[in-house]
Amino acid sequence: MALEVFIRGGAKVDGRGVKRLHGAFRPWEDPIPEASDHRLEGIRGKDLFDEPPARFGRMDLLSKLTLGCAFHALSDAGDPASPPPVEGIILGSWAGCLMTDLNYYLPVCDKGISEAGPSLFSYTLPNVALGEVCKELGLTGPNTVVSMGRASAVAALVTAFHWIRSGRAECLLAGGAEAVDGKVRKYLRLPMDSDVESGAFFLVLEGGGSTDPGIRIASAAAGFQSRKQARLRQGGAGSGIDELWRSLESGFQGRLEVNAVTDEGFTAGLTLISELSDG
Amino acid sequence: MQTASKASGNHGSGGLSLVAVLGVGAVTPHGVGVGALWQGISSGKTAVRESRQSRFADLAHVPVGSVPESVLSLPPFAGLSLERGRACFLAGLSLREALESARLSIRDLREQNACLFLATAKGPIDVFQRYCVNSGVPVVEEQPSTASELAAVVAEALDIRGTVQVVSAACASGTLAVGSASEEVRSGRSGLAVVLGVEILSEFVLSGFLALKGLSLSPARPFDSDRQGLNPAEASAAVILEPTQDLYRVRISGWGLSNDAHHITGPDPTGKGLCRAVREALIQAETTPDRVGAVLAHGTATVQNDDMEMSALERTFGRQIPMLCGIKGSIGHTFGAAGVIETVAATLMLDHGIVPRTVGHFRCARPGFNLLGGPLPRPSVLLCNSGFGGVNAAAFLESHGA
Repeated sequence: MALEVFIRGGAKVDGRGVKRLHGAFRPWEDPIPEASDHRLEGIRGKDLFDEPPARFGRMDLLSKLTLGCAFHALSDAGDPASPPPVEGIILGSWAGCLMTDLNYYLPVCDKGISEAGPSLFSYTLPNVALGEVCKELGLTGPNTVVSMGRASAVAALVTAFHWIRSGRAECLLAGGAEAVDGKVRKYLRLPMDSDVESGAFFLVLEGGGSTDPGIRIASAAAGFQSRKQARLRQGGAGSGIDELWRSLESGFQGRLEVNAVTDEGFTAGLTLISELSDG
Repeated sequence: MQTASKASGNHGSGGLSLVAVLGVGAVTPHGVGVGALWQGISSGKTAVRESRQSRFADLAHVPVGSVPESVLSLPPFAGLSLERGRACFLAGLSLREALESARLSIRDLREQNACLFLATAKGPIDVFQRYCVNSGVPVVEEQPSTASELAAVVAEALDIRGTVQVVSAACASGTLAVGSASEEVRSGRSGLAVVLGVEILSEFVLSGFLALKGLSLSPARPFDSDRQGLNPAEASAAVILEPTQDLYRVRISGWGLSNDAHHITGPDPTGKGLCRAVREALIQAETTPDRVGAVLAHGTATVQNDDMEMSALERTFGRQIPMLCGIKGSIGHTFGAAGVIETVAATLMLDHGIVPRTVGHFRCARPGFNLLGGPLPRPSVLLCNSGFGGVNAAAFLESHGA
């Protein structure tokens, strides 16, 4: 019998604050110090945690956002006394650790190899952010970063859906995180008015029986189409995440289709069914 | 490699099937072709040489595994030319060989709704480096500048319509990509899977491992008591997977994925994390540790990694540790691509029935480990990789009669 995949909780971190799916919006309490491009660059441990992890200040921005958002998503999915049995995490990210790559390598090019810092170099792989999450939250199961351009976050949910359905895991965190500043925008040739911003979004997905109440993912698929087709269809990339979040927050009823199509040709889509009112 | 069966075309059937390796291709420091790779790793030779030039004096003369210069003058495959970047070009060469050995055309990939999984740590890092050196002069439009773009360019060249995904799990990316792709095929979502691993040498990575004091100043010595570190290397490898019911030469029968939850760069010395991934692979393969013919290990030749792996193997196998083999003393460490290259190497081990002697290894500090090579006692190979972020991946390959 095919297992159903339910959304148990979630959280979103952006420039304005933290929002849990089942909780009130929590704006940044103290104004986060303005950094050059984006205020999230100055995010501190106490902005996200009551008791911040000891190493938080030394992490790169991708790790900070991923860890903070994963923590809030997990907290949203169950009371602290009986947290959901999350085993692993799948992160979708387009820019990945590009900000850290640039922060590491531009000074090396400019001033020489003495600028090569071992601590910063350690963060020049996007899955190191997952190493931080797994260490802090004690996750020992499946963990990876998937990248499919701007469809990466939906692609992570698609992957988690398949892995839960196939029995690889029972409960996973899945979503997206981006760490973006002016340097990253320039490298990616993003237009000045691009809506790609730093932030993170995670859902807790868990397998369950077909009669369980709640919002479930009924199907998930990813694919690829030629560039020409992708551009004709979309005229610009959409991550699909804003639409998904708004619908989850507003407690949609019935059926919801979420689709991400990118300029490169990546496609990822989910069909969600909400049967809250039916119990 | 001979073709075991034709693409069976059961895409969309929804039924679970076996997953067979239909074709393999590689371009490595030993040259172009899986024949050159096998010749290199089975004859005890190392292709690791001192790097010739670098903008940084500290990086000149560091031992690395680079593909021979002559490779660069070969005709590109499917428009994946050197002008589009070194990663793109090397990827094309391995894909051409894999498709030829699978007797598949690009049209077959489209008709079978093929998927593409790209395993890489740094993707088109040459394009990134050029951008940084030139103080932010925009990247040339035709050159993929991120791993996502590289995957899209390859997918476009191969006319892929199934899932196209970059798998980024540090040095475990390759094995995980093979596992993920096998899942696509097993479930019936794709009728064929292309797994591509590509990594190219870069001052970016060399400078980082120099800073981390992880480089060996001589050819690497996996699992040796005097090992001093790794040799960065470049390569590309491609593996084509197909669904099959019972006809196969080599099949992927299980895979596993875990996290140490211990440290972001240092492995858990107890080996518990890798052991979990290995057990998951063996359980999925419906087999037991005593049925493992040989282990093709990660064996980076760093003190910490090899210690952790030996602990994990002791934990998994007890006193009956199968023959152990590592190929990074022969070609160097290709990071995100390593698991795909090692899937090719494991396929060749099963084809030839031989476990190569581990190049660079002379003396093991721990008892119970045999790295001398010899006939493969049982037709199965366990593959494992671990990487930064605490990630571990394992895969179990079997040939017929296992």
